[in-house]
Amino acid sequence: VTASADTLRHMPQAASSNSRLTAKGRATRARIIDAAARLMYENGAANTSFEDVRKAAKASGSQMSHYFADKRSLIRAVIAHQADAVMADHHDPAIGNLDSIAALRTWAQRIVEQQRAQNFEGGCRLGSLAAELVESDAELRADFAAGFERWEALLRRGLLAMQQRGDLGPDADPDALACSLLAAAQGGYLLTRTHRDAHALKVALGAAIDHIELLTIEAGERSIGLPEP
Amino acid sequence: MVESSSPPEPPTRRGRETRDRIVAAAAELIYRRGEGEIGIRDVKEAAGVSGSQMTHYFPDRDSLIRAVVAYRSREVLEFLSQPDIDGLDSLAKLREWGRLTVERQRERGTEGGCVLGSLVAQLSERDEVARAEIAEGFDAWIGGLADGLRRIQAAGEIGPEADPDELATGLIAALQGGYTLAQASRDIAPMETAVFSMIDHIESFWRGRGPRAKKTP
Repeated sequence: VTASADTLRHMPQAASSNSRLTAKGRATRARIIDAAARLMYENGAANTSFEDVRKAAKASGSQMSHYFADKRSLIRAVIAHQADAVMADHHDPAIGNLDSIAALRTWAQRIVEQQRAQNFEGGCRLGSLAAELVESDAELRADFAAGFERWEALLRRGLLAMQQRGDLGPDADPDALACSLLAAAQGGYLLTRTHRDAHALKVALGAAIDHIELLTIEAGERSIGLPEP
Repeated sequence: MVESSSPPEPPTRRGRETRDRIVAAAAELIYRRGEGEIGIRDVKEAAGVSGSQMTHYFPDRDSLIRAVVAYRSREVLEFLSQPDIDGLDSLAKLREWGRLTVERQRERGTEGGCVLGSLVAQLSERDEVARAEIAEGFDAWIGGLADGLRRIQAAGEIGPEADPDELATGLIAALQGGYTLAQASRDIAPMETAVFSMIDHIESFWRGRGPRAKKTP
């Protein structure tokens, strides 16, 4: 059992393709994607057949083919869905807008707890799917890139807010720091999934946040400039 | 060094060469096409060996997969001890390691990920022994980097408050995440940013001017 299953249900849908569906149609489509996302996360996309998804979603063959021409179109919907799920995970009052060191530390803690709750199996729901499928074709690769970019943009926004407020020094580069944070998370997920323990994920995120903290300016330092290190 | 649980080393040089050729061919095929897409026959053809040679060295698929994991684990360690970085005892050499690692991925057009890391997604959830061996491979790699950081520390370039094991773990994580982001975006920049931002962080411990971050709980 993975932590993803029940958070997934509340996700906003990828807006594009289902705006013309009826409420019932949307629900069926969402149920299929939900089942596909869960199965692909647990068993990998390669080991998840169209038929497996149909059964798990309790959908008919004609419903399946009505919403998804083939497995590939289902995979694309799952990628969008997992990216939405990652974004939704960040709508958490405890981490707010990710615009302070404390919020980032809480964010890191949440990520570690989430992995612990699933016995460190499976890794990141977007990253693990990417690891499996990113080289399969250009379109899927671009889907993953878009998902990561949304995630990175969210991290960047928090860092930019810190800089505008004067908490982060003018020399800090929010783009680079957001990229490093996301890379630390992705690498941490991968190592933690490999080792089946929290250590690497905790340490990787901790180091990336330590690095950002080094670039912060404490209130007392602001008017008088940075003291000599 | 990670030893695999596959059969013992062949006694003759020719035997070892045949065995190594099989492992290298399997590793390459898995990297390019994915473990699930590869049959023993593909490996046999790519390595140019007979069926009886195959079964002699690798009685089953698992033993071959484990040999591939050990081969990739050795490969990342060897990359760490190549001439330009050998001894890894200065921040300059650490930067050179980062540069060479990023450069190799740039040359590959960011296609394919880390030779060791890319095995995780393919094996970790369905082959428990392979998962544990990949973990050992990472431990040896992180350990090799941590030893280097300890030498850099002994030379006085970074202060005693730096934790070599944690920083090495952070660096390998940054690298792994960098591979993933570079693969998805077909752009080397995120990998370069991630790796060098972590190296910058290590450098911030320069001569004991440790990060303030270490003082907060």
